[in-house]
Amino acid sequence: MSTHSGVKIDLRKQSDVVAARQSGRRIANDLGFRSADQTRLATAISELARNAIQYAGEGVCYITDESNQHTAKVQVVIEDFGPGIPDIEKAMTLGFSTSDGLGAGLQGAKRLVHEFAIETEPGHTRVTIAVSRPKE
Amino acid sequence: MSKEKQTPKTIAEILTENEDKLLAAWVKTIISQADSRTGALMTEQELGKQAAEVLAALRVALTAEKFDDLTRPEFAEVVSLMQEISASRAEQGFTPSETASFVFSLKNTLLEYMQKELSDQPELLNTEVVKTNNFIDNLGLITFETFAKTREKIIYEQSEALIELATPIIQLWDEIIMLPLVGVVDTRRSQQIIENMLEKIVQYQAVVAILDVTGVPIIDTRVAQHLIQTVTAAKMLGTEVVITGFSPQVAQTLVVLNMDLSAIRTKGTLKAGVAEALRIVGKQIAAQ
Repeated sequence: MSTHSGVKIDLRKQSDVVAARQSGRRIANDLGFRSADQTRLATAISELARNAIQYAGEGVCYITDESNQHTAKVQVVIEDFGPGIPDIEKAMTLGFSTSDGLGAGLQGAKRLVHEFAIETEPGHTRVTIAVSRPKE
Repeated sequence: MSKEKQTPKTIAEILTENEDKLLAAWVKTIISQADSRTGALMTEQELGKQAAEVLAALRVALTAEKFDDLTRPEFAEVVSLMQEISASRAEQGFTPSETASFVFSLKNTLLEYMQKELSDQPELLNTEVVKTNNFIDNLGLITFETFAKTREKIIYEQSEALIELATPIIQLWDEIIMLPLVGVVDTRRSQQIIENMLEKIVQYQAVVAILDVTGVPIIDTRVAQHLIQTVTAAKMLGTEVVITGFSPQVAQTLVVLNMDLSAIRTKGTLKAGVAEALRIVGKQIAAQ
């Protein structure tokens, strides 16, 4: 059984973005992820957390250890209650960006991690990402 | 003494009658507390003065009928005094417990005197003790809150100061300047970096600027965009920018992020960057 331990970080200012990605990196490190994977996860958190602050003013980031017997897994949920992303299909298309980097950030985050899901509607956006690796 | 027929004494009266003795006992308690540095961080005289002010304010406060609500006007003085004292403690480097013990040690001292004075009226003693307890606990909470707020303010000011310090620009050789970037590059900081760099480019008539990012742990799309802007701005002044120190992890991440940095000259290490910069200005390091 997994321990399902985790942290919650409120995202309000730039330094919270740093706190969130450092927590992500630390948890990935504790679960034995390689440093390249740690960097990729931290960068993805950085992109998404920044988006939440930039477009919604503030958000919340939950980082949990979702490991089981066979797989080590870090899951990150970043949630905000901002305007939502009007055309999510377009936002996920290469080369799309609303101000400076929503498109690049979202697509980048998706490519950096193993699992990526986004639900968005006016008033609520929730991005779930995860990195995983088989346990030895 | 027979007090049965007298109106029972209130804490306020007890305090007024015994103010000098109480003050001395209180100061002694604070100073003599084990592992407290209060005695070392301030003189007994200063401490005595603060304690006396608090007692005087407390005398006013304790005339109140109810002690549960600290927003009552009677408490204004003692509350603002405690806030002032806690804030100055935080600035002087006292620990939270050293700060809180200032007010909590008053509790024992007060209770001692109340027990003495009201020994023949257990019921009154009881209610007064509860009141005093509540009151001092509330003061303690205020102390903690102010202490934490002051510390937060100090941390904020320090981080501001750090941003100022964190972007030194070094003249490496004639026409070559170098900026070692350390830590978090956000929008505000990158603007400052661009401004500083452009200013120094003009000042040193730099032909090459080396931007070393060894100390930047995470480079996401935003940071990469800031770097590109910095390079573009420098190019307008005719200066070549060489970025050095991307870690292998960062390089991989930037490729995945689809950030096109091919227009920027990059070198893996600062050493290679310096060699490149010298080559651009037509100099070389030779053995004697």
